[in-house]
Amino acid sequence: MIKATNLSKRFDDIQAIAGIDLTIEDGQVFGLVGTNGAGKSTFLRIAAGILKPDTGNVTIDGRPVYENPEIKRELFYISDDTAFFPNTTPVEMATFYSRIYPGYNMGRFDYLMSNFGLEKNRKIKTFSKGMKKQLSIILGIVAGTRYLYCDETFDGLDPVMRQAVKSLFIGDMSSRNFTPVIASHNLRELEDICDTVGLLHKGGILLSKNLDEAKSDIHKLQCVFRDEESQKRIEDKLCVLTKENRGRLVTMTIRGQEEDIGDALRAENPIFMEILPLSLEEIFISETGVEGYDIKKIIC
Amino acid sequence: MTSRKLFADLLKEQSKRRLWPIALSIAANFFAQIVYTMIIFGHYKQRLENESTNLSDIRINFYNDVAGLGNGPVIFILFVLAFILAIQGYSYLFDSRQMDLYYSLPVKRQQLFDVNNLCGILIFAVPYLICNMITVIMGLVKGYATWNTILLYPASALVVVIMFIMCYEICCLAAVLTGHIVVAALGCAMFFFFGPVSSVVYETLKDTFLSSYWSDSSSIDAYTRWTPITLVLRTIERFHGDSQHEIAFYTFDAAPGMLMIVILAIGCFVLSRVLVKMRPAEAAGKAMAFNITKPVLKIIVSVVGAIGAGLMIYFIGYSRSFGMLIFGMICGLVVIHVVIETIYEFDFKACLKHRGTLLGSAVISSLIFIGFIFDIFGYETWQPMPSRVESVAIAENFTYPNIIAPSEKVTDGVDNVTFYNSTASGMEYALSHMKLTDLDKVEKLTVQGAIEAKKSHKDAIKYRLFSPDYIYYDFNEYDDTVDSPSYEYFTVQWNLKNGKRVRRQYKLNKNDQELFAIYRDLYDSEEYKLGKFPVTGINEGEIDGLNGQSLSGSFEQKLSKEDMDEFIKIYTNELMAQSLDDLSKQTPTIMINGSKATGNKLYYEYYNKYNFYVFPSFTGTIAFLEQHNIPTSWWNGNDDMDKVTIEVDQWDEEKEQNIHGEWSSNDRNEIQAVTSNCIPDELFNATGLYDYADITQKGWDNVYFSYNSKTTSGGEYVYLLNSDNLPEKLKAICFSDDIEKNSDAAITDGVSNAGYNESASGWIKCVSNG
Repeated sequence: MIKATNLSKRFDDIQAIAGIDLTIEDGQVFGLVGTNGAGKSTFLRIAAGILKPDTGNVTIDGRPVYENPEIKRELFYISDDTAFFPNTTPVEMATFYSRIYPGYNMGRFDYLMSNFGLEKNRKIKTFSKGMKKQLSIILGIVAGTRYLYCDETFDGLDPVMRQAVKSLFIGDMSSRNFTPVIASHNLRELEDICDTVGLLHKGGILLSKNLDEAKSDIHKLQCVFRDEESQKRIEDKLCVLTKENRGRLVTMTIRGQEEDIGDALRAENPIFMEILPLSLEEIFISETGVEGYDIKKIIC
Repeated sequence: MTSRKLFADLLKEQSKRRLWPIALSIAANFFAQIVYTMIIFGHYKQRLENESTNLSDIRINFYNDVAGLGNGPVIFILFVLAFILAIQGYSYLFDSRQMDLYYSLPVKRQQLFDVNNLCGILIFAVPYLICNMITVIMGLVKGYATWNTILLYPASALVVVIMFIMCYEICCLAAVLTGHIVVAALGCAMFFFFGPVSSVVYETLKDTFLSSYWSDSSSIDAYTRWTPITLVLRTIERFHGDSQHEIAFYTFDAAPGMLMIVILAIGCFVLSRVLVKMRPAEAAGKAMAFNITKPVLKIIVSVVGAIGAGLMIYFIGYSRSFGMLIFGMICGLVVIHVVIETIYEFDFKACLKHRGTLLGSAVISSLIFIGFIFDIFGYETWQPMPSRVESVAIAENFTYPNIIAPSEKVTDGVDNVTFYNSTASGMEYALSHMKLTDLDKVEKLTVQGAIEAKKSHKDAIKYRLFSPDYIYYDFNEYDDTVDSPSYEYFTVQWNLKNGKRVRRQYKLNKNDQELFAIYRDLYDSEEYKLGKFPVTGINEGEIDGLNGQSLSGSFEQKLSKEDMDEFIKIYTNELMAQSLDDLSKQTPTIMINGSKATGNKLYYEYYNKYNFYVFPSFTGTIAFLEQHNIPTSWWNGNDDMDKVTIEVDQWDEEKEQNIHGEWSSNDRNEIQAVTSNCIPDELFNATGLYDYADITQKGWDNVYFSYNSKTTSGGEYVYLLNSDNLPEKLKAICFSDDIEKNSDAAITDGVSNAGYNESASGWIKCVSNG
């Protein structure tokens, strides 16, 4: 289990993350989503032991990650901006990693390279951006670590490759103790694969929940009330995150269980009512909107 | 995975990442050693065939300059590869992507550092040692290296590797402290060259503002302080010993230097290792890895730069006023501030940030200038307590200014010949050999000297503050008015009991009879002469011949060991007996060099180590020389001359034109009369108890003397003695009353005038011999 406690990091005048408390349970796909500059990469780099936090720490099974090779053997970090040794080939990279990661599987490396159609003896600098991404994922997966940190890893992969990678993740999760932690802007991609999401905004964590739980906790309501008083009573009674009126049709995003919301609405006997589930993207917009990250403000 | 296995694995992998530096190191060592050796062997062969050297000298040269410590190309690549390997090895510290790659690995940062560090050392050391071994084997095969000295070669190689490690670790420290490859290179330059630059600025400050500061030819040592380059070169010199004519490995002499090198290497390694752990990963790409170093570095560079710029503008400026100094300082401060801030932020728009450090630098620079200008720390008047002084040395150039002593032995790299570089060693010889213990007498001189120094200092401030049109104030300014003091300079060195030395240069007023009498007593003492004259310290067999120059041409005479010992004994006794008064009344008749044969048939057959000025009063010496058919006077050989010509030139101030006079004669009596009253420059200046500035400032020329004989002809500038024996026509040209009236020659009294009589000279400097 990865646990971040009161994590803060500042780069000169910029507060990258501030006081993050986050727990990532084993055996699930954890999605790290957030606005631009929210601190996703910073969090991952701290969790990988690259950056030293100003305050707090990140532990795996209670042991700190920073400058702890024993713990760091449990994780593999794939950077947003993939980096390899200069003038090297995939097989040389794999050989290097195999000397460092005890569970490194060179046989599987060969197999995956072949399956992904990558030449293992070709210079990496001649690879396309997508091929480099594929390579870094292969190198990470065959390292056999418990945790795989992927920073914007799905960007640059074509849809087929994304599916292939997701399949790889799912396969590994079913066969061994494997927990991918994926930071991405592509919420639709994460929605397909993530079990839990952590939502970062302005260096802080807005929510960290199981995705189903998160979805069950926030709903979109379309409703035509009988009168304004009725609407007001609902607004007072329920936790309304956003509200939009189009004529008499009111669209609300409401935090709460579907049953509770339904009961409250039925008590008002509206002319029309419909409770819809939210996509991850809608949840993201709603949650960040509450914190002032409103798309309308940006457009206007 | 055990740590040791991981380290070995990482080292192996790291070496794969550094293929081009490995190739560079192999190529550099191959050319610097094997190719260089092959080229040198060609020279050796040619020289041996020409008999311009012998196998013994070749072996010495092979050890000293090829396979041992002093291989120039190896020393060059040592510095260059140290820089390249350090910067390349730690290049991941400058790239955030590489940092992510390295620091996400399950390896401790210090272990990564160690692996890189060792890898860099091995990349240099392995090719170097292999090439060195091949070079030594080549030497053994050719007979240029011998088995009895074989162990010196690996010992030398080990020293070279240690020196490399020091330079390499310094560059590694620069890499760890910075976050950008260009700034890291600047950091290396700072570590290697900031010391000498600071030293030059410091010495220039002292030389400019402190009248009692003394700088001499050894200043180059001061200017090259505080740099690893000099440390390496000096330590190599120490290993070679005082002389380069033997295969030597002076471990004891070189021990302090080696100790410093090892301390520096270990210190930089440990510091880098600690810093790399503290170094934030986000420092990659920034100028400096640690913010705290920014203001410190900036202030240090700004202060030295501002003072340097101030001095530069001060010297360039015509008026040499304090205004120019301040202007230069401000310019230097602003330029350095802008450059450093731009580098720090990689943004020119940030050039005016952090003005607080600019202000701080300005304050510190100003305080330093004020400290030197107003002598706040009392440099001019400070002298060590007599109780702390073990002995004192006094060096001056107004007696025997051209005396030489064997000092640094150098080897001609092309011709492989060793000889002494004995130029300008008279002052240094005195300072290193004189041990005066009569501190009371010395104190009287030095106290008055300090008073004069303080006065000069105050005068200089006054000129610089209140006389903006004044060109510059020169501490060595001459004053030729009749009643003014007549100054000579002397350097005093206090050898303290704690081993330190303090040096000052003071003025001595020769017209101050009481003070000069003290100096006279000192000069006449045995302690003084033993310290002043190198000939008193000649070792047996150190010279084996005498040579010199007279009108009959150059001469060289080999002497047996017994004869040479006798000559030295006679000469030394007469020199020791010569008082200052005796000296001031005479000019030498000839200067003879004491030489040592090199055994080299083509080059540098002998080299001069000592010189002997022969005075008319040195009757024993003259008798010895005559006995061995060695000329005793410069005019020796005037019997054979067919014609002598004297040409004189004088600037007539009233007519503002040059007056040229010429006299020549074929008459043997006249020739003898003229030649016996001529003294060449080097002899006239030998005693130095005259006011040379007086000659030069008034635009007087010496006479030009030329001659023809059956076998030779020649000429040189000489001083002509005003003697009754001179032909009347010549006297009319050179010493006419009319010209005397026109001249503004001053008649000076006292000791400064003791060596010559200026009263009879219109435009010829005339001397009286006794």
